[in-house]
Amino acid sequence: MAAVLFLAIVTLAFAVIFTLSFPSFGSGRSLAIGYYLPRALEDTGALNVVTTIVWDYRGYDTLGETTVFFAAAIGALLLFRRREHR
Amino acid sequence: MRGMSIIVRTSSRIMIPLILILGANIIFHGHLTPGGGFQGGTIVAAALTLYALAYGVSLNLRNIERVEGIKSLGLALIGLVALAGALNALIRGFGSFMQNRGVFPLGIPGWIFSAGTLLPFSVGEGLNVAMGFMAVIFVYVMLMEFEVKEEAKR
Repeated sequence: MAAVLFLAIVTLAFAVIFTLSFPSFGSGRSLAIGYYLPRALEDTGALNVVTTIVWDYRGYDTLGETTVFFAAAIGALLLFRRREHR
Repeated sequence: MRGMSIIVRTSSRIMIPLILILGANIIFHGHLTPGGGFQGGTIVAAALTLYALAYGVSLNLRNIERVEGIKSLGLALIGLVALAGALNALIRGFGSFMQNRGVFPLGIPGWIFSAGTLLPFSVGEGLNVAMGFMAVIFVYVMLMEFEVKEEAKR
């Protein structure tokens, strides 16, 4: 119990420290902004940079997410269809 | 499940086309304006849910197969467009899976048919998400009917 409490406090402390080390909201000091914003239009021809990141730069992530959603919906229907037939 | 009263049906007859148009607008402008496949798909699913609740939905195997079929079509569209990049890598020696470099034309920025793979990806994701949420609504309706049957038995 004491170990769990200790781990929780350490994790919380790390979370607070790393959150404070982030650039403040709207300051524009993020490194990712400097990478994506100048290149997005030239690379993909899309005006919406969020879609560019979601479906192009990090496309594998979104592909996996879509597949998980697909499998979850099919699984839910399969589970309850059997119950309906009983 | 049975439908609702004539007031609900009449007002939803007015609202459903508007909601569907809004959802399609957000899906098809996924590469131009804020939003995209997931957001537009949820709006389309909201319109279909309103239809199902107002007019009633019959949970036969055919409807479920239809929902699953459209959902699979969306994922297949995404997969085929993603495989085009891998094919490009095999034939021309550059690019990779899901990468649009010289596969689909980029077009003029701001036009609807531009941005290469992003438009088919948005459409596929929209179909997948709309039908996925419809499947969830079907599950809820099934549970509700099951509860009603159990209540009637007692």
